Amino acid sequence: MVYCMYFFSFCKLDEILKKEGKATCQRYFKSKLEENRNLAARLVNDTRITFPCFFVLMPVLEEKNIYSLLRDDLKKAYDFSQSVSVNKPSNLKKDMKNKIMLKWIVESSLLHNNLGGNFNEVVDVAVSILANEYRELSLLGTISELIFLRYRNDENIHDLVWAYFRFNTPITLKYIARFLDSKNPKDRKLAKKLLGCEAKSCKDFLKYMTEDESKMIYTDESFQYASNPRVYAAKEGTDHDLHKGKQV
Amino acid sequence: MIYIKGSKFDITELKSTYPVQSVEHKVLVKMEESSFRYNFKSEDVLKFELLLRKEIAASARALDRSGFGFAVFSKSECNPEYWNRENNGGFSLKQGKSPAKAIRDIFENGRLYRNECATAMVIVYYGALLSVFKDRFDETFPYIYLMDWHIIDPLLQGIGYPRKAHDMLIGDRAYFKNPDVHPETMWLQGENVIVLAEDLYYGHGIGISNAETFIEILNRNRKEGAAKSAYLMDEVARPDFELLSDVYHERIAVAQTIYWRNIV
Repeated sequence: MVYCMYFFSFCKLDEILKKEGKATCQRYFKSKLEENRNLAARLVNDTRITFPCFFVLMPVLEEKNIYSLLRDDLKKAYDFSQSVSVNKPSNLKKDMKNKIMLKWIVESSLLHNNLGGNFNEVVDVAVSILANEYRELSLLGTISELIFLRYRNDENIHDLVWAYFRFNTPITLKYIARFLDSKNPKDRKLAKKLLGCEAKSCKDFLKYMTEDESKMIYTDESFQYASNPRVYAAKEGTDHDLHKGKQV
Repeated sequence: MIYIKGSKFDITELKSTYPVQSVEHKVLVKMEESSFRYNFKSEDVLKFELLLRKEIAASARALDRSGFGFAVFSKSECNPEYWNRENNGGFSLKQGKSPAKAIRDIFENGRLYRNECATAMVIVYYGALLSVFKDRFDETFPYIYLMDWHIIDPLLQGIGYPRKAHDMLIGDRAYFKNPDVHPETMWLQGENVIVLAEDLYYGHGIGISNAETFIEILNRNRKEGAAKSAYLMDEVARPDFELLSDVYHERIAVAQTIYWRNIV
């Protein structure tokens, strides 16, 4: 379990990224590499490193050709990111090690903001695999946070939202409903849009939903398809529709 | 069936004004032969819809020829002379630039642009509206933000709301859904298309083809052990032709839409 330490403290490279930004982090790592490649490799192989930090350093790793010095799981994360960047399936084998690596990508991505579309794309694909292949429900809280974090920064959320709802459980709605109580109006606006209803608070929504969530059916509608996708609809023969009163 | 102001409309005279192979003729006949009742408040609105549908189909074909590239939002590209590339992968019109020139540039210099299939649909609609509104395009659509239907001019909001439709008409936006898409090729979860003719569609990234081809391409990008085939959904999205017609015929002012950029 190498990916648990980052919750407690940042490694040196993460600290620099957090405090001084991407360019300084890359410069620092480059200078360390020029001094001593093995010591620099130890810095990046630190078990506390976050995926955002690793991603930021990937161009330096490539330029300085130190892929072979990376530990195995970072090599996998590197290969995975490269596949995503050229929009080719990585064909990652479904196993525990890969699942842990993908979870690390998603969980640690909350720890740094605004790293750009290419970074987000890797995270989106990781979420999609964890939803579609592993059904890793323990991540619902993290992914819902990530959706709102990105939205606050005016970043694209379409694929992330699609991947999140592919968990195909109404529990996804409950995590979104928490943001109805946010102090941030942007959060509340997005929560209403994703839930497709006018509930005023999380409590209201949960009351409404628990009346009979078994009557709801997942539609797989997405932002690629519609302005206000109806992610859940009433099963035929029921009148329990979250979207009642909305344009449908 | 076509009804105007509540009365059944005889299409004979209007039909004779369009060539048999024209989009207007085909749409008119399809509406007439349908068991669905198409209601219009005036003949002008009907004519406007026929005109706009023709231009939507022409615009789709022009975008297909333009060299406009495919890219997911994170890798989208645009001509910085006219557009700002936003954080979310969308394009917003640069301050002081003519919307008409900026839209025309996409069709003329398509190779400078890349985006995904939903945004391409919006570009198709703007291209068609440019052909219809001509010199009045800039005043009618003074601010443009191209990013699927997430941020869209109030005059075009209808294209973001697909609904069940009795008929699929030329100029409609339809959607091929790929329910068992490979989890790593999310952009192939479906394909937005413009209906060009009976069983002929334009979809950005795939091109102009029939339903079988679209389905085959989407099916090639499914997850391992996929059980469900891609399919054409029975819903379509349409712009609010009546509203646009009213704007075109200057029955309503466009002032209400001018400041929508402030709510983006």
